[in-house]
Amino acid sequence: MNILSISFKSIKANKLSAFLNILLIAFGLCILTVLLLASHQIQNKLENNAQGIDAVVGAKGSPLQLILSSVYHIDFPTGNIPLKTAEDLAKNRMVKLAVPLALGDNFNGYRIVGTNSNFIKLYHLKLAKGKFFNKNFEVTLGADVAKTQKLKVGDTFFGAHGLADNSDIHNNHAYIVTGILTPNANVTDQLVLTNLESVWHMHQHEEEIATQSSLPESPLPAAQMPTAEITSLLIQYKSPISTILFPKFVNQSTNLQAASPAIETTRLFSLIGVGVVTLQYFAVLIMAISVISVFVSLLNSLKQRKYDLSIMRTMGASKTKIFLIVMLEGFILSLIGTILGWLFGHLLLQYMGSLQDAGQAKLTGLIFLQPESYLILVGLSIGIFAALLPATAAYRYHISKILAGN
Amino acid sequence: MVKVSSLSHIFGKNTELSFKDWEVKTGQQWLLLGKSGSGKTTLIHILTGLLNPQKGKIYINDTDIYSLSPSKLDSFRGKNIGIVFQQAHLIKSLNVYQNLSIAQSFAGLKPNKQRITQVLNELQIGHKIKNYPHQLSQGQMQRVAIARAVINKPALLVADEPTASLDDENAQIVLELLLSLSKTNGSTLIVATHDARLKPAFTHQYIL
Repeated sequence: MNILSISFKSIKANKLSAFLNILLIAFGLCILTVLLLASHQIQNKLENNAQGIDAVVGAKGSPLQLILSSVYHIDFPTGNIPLKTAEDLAKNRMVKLAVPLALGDNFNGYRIVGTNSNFIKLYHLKLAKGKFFNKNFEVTLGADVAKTQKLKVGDTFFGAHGLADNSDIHNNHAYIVTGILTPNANVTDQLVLTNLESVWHMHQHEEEIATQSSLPESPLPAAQMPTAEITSLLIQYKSPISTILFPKFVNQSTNLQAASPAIETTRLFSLIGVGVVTLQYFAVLIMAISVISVFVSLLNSLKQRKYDLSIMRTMGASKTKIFLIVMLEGFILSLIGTILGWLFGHLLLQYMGSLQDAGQAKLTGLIFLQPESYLILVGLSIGIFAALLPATAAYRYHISKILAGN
Repeated sequence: MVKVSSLSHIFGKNTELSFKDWEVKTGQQWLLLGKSGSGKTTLIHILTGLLNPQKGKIYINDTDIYSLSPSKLDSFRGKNIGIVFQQAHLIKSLNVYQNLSIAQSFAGLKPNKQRITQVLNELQIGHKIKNYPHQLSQGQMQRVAIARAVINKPALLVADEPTASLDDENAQIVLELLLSLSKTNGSTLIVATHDARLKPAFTHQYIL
């Protein structure tokens, strides 16, 4: 028998106390793991999706809502803006790249985005199969859309009115898949891209049905649509100095608003951050309680086992071995607690992700982050830290006094 | 085999216990007789390297045991000395087999199941090999404690009041086992007791 099995058997002999200690460590570590993974993924998604976008121009309303709907595709737009005004802004000398977005439809929850080739430039999109959308009703699918909807190049489908609802289907015009994007680990994986005219035509057609008029064979070009509107305009500046000047210009000279993704996501994250920090404190508190709990139970078990440990000394066990036996008990408890907490943390996040409706912000537990190794080290050190004093007490035992019953 | 020379030990500030010089030869069986509080346990602990005396020397097989470093003394004890106490002090989380096999491990030996089975059979508790201490009677526990003390065939077997917590029948059995096992294992035996009735069983006595 080695000292590891002696420690293990000692833990087994105190099952209830061991179970409670393991539970405490696992619970604390599970919360910390979920917080770490979730906040990292949320921050990552926020940063990735907003990369290259300096401002978003849209209808007046909540700037956060405008950013969430146009950059992250998770909220409803603030309204529509005239295409003419958007085109004028796109020609502004401060603008390097302007990407129009026309939202309003979805396919099984995946947003159909009317846009132009600037969208491809902005997100540096590449094709896995087929070609980019060109003609009306041609679509290029994000990698996740193609995968989950089992669509391939050449397939057709009908879009539905609204951004999530599937009840009002536009069954007069089918979209045809012309290309599938490579995975980009951002929101484009979750989008269905088409040209602006397809979205306009889909809704113009609806209006005409409503007025009992006949449908033209092909949609009108944008220039011939006097009331053409888009949802928003994604802007990339020529120079960083425009960060201050452009929104001011938009707010003063038009009826629109320009919102900055950087400012809005920082604001959003600071709001989420309050909750994250509170939960972090809670988890750290649980971890601290688990240190005390392991310490108290080891100290109590030591009182009951002082004869056991003294007898081991009479059999030839050195003081160091006795010290290690007690240290190992603490370590085994924290090892089991840490592994379980870490595993449960990942499983819990995966489960939480599976319950999320918005695919764009889906969280996963199937990743490993480098900072997790520090978390594991903290978990393991709980037992070592808690066992240090009891192990030192065992090391210093006066075995003659204990065996003589004094 | 065992040599006690100019030995004394001070308790607290004033109480000093002095022990007369003593020489035990290999294979001898000694009774260490003394009233309660006469220092039997103190002497046993000093002899077995558990209590460092203030004065004097203890030699076991010509080794001055207190000249050894603490870790070497622990190792020396594990390999050369078997100790039986008044209480069995079996390790509660381990079964009978494991209680004996750790004695082998701590002495730096490989666990030897054959030897463990043989000793337990000699003590007529072979059928209890998988039992835990709480599943044994007082007499059975003391037999396991004896088995643990002799498992490594120690040069010196020391027992401190081994029969004090047992009834007459079990006390007689335990005493006979100690005498016979020390002979079969070639161990020198020292039994400390306050019970003068044990005198006839021993040819050598050290009176405190």
